[in-house]
Amino acid sequence: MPPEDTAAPRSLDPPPRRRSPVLHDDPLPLATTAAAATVAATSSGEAVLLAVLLGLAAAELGSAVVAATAVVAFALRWGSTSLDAIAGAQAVLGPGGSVGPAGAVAATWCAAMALVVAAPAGWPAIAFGAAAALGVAGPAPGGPADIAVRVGATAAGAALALVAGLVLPRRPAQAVGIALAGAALLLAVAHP
Amino acid sequence: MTQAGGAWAALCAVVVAAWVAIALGGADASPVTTTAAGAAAAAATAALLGAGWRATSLGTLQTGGVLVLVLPAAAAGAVGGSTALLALVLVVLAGVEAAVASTARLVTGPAPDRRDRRRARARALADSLGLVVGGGLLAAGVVVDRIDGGEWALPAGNRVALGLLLAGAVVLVGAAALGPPRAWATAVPALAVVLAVAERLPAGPGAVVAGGLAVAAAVALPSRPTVALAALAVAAASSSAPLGAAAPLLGAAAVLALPVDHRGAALLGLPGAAALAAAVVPPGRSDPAIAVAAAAAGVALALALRAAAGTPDRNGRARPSPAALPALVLAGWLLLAPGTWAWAGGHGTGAYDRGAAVAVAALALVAAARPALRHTSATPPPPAPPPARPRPEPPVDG
Repeated sequence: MPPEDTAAPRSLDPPPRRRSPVLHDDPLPLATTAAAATVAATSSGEAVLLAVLLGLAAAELGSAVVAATAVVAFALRWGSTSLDAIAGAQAVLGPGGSVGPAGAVAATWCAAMALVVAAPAGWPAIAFGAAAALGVAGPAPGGPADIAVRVGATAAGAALALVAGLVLPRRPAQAVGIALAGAALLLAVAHP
Repeated sequence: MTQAGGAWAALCAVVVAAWVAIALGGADASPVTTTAAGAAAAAATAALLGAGWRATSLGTLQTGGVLVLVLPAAAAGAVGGSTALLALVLVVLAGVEAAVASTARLVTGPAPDRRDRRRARARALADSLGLVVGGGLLAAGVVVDRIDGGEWALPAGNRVALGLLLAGAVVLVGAAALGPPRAWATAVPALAVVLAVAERLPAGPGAVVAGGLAVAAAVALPSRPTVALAALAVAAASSSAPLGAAAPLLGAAAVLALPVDHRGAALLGLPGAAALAAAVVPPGRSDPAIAVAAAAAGVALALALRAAAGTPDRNGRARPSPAALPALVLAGWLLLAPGTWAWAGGHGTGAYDRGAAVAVAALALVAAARPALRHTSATPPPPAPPPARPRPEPPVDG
């Protein structure tokens, strides 16, 4: 049999474009990512709600545990589960990553690094980065400086989390994230 | 829907609407004097009865009709804590209901052979056992308290009565969570009794035991989150005063998880967990409060582990039944705006309400934009493979 008879006819259509993985299949990760990122970026809501939204967005148990632990560490560090209160305290006292006792500052950075390191691959990483920024430098908008700090921290956190989610191997990253989040929790309890 | 089913649905709708009106209006319903919380509990009881009770014949319709009039009133009385007599009536009626329903099912069902008949009878008795035992213990507790000079009021002053009431109410909650749907309605008054009695328990041991039970229930029964949520509510109620505000929210979640009948119903505990965290996080927390918070974390972790493991849902269904629609509406209300549940202790959840509103707005935006995003990034279907050409048959020699 001649070879041209068995070959599939070449399509004249343009090659298919690559789609974002979150735009089809399950809509839940994209929706919960948007919700979690909005709640974190606007500091409106409550720590437990943010933790659950991050967990649903990640859809991975390791990342969800890290998110819950880190957000609780933020809440313990400021003594309130209200994200409004956490942002308001930073607007008055200064960014969480630079003011307060050394233990509390260390707790903040550990929690933020845990969120970045354990961020899942893809769009949900943005929500993790926004949550990390909320803890480290998330003052309520009281003026242009506060807004600049907040926007810059959120952008940096989201970018770092996106890169970490793409580059770092999942299981070791989640193990490191759990260790960092646990350390943050202990430090936040010890240095409220 | 049969004639009896239609009449049953209409009757339940009228009763639920009446109790909702009483709850919203804050009026007293003669002869039952109750609070808004009591009226809301009565409405929930009637709604659960409507969803769980199957009125398939005149007999079951009449029995259900009596129940839907008496049981909500009993629940309202139990929530008000003004009397235990109504709780006693509730339990006796529940026992009668179980017996009647079991008999009716055996009589009206298809004629099985002897072995099937015996098996069906054993199952019906097992279904009724929780109601009968729980009702008996509750009745004994009320009688013991009365003999000791009590005032038919909750919580009881006598320790034995306290234990009997607690055991009976716990059994009733368990029967509602694990038994047939017709037992759902008993969960509301039983939880009211449990929460009222739990306030009398010693804070430390009560919180630890109830919290441990909650974790164990989450591990053993992940597809029935009612048990774990109810145990958490008891733990919160038995701890210090600030945590008590979370108990009614967790109790409401436990009740609403019954007709939702899906492991995802555990998310209904989110407002209660938020109230719990808000009370625990500030400095100066007590040991019982820490124990309850640890139990809540354990429950969440256990449920997440089972969800990650892909444990199938109880009935193998991905979606709740249509009969659960009213409960789903109430569940959505609880999940999104617990601050409006002031009668259930929803005070101080303003931050949660704002966050839930922002999250829902973001979800709605994504839902609205998703078709457009899909359209712009749609992939054309892959070209169909060419039809298989018939292979030429080899020449046959000879």
